[in-house]
Amino acid sequence: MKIPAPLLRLCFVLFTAVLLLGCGNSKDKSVDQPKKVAVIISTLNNPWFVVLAETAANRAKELGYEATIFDSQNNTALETDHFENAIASGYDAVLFNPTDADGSIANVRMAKKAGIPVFCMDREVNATDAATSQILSDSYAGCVAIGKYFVEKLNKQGKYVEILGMVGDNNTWSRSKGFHSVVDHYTDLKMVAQQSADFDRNKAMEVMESILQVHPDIDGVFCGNDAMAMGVYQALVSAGKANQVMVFGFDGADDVINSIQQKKILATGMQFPKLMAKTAANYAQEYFNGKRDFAQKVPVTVEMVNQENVNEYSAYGSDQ
Amino acid sequence: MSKGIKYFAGVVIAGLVIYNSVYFRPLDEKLAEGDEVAFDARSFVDGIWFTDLLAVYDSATDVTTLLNELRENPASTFTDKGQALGIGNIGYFKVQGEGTVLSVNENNVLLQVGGEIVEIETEFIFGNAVRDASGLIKVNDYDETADFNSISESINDKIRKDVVPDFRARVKQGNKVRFKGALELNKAHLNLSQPEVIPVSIQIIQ
Repeated sequence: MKIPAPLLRLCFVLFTAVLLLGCGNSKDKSVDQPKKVAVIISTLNNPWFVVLAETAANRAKELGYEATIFDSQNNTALETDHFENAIASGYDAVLFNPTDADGSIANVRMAKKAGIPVFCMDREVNATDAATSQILSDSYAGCVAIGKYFVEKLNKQGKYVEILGMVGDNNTWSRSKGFHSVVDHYTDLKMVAQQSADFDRNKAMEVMESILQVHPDIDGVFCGNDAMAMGVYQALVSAGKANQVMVFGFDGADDVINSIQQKKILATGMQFPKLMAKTAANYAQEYFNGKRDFAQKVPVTVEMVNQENVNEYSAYGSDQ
Repeated sequence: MSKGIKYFAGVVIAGLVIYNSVYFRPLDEKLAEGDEVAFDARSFVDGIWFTDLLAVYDSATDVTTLLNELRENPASTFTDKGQALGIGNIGYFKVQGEGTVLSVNENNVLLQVGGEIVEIETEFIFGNAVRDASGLIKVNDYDETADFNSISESINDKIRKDVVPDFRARVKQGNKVRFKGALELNKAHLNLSQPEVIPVSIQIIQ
């Protein structure tokens, strides 16, 4: 059957029009719609991570991007769902606080394969070829400083307890190693218990209550974060030992800064979640503008806040 | 050949094949084969100590000059003479000087250096000051952050074992002392009174 020439011409015109319209829509999407930034956070059940997440999202919005916060609830499977959703929904960058240094690598690689840059905040993944850049607290150095203060305050002797964070997080071990790189030189300082409380305040309180049953005569407790330090302090108050046991935290959270001022907690390591979050969002902008040569690891210094200098600091390093 | 002998021979052959096809070894032995060679921080530090690390401290700034510059123009002094590991307020400086021993204390030795009192640490030799003030060692050269941190531990061990004991055993009030070392300062909370120096070398010269 022969198709009439006018009909052929009409088909050609319609086909061309459809193509042009399609191109026009595509162009509109890339030019007019803002870039989308996913802020994927290990947990929002801790005020410190809420500050990290909200600062990252707010900074991304200030820069003109859409930003959405995803809570992984300390669950790598849920974190994987968030990455899959972010990729499928057309997000352009991920500002990421990993749940697990090893378990989160696959998620970062999945985004990388999809051409989406990932900027880690505070926590690292154990791979240097996955994330675009990792902006990390220098937890080790911060805990070296706390270790020195701990030794001085306990006068180089006594019994102590260490409450660890999540065992799958590198920060847990960086903090522990920094602390022990100092304290282990003093043989009269004896660690009578070392237990994980997963960076969780309630769990830390329960763990401390159990430890106090066996070791009622301790002199100090070093905690891997401030939430656990507050939980430990609660347990000591319940046991009537708050005045005889020195508690040390790490983070620089609001309630611990107040507690240092009130002499309930001796010291903490001030991290700068706002600085890390803003830096990650700024890096995403630089990436969108064409930059590719990011340093793989960007350490952010940690400063000790103690009885002598607490009045110079505010929670979360909020002046940064 | 009887059927029994054939079966017996078959079982023996099958047993030999299976025995030589499958073998068991301890898991830790197998895992150890796959391990990369662990980073040896102590050997690394021994290797760079004289040729690189002490060499860069030869060009350290005079401590009194540095303190004056920090008082007059802290921001540019941090930029020009300080070393920083990443983002933040902490800066590390290489310093040297000569001074007179004011007191020998449990954890340090106090020196009068020009118009300044300088604290030479002899007990709390910890942290990253010496590594980072040198500017020689970069975090991104190490895949494992723990390896990078172990360099500081080895540097500090060496100072505790090779630098401090001989000095501590002989130093007395009134001695004249020459030192090189590292200083850690916080530019947002700058405190220049009695700066604490971690020594990489220290001699009694008089």
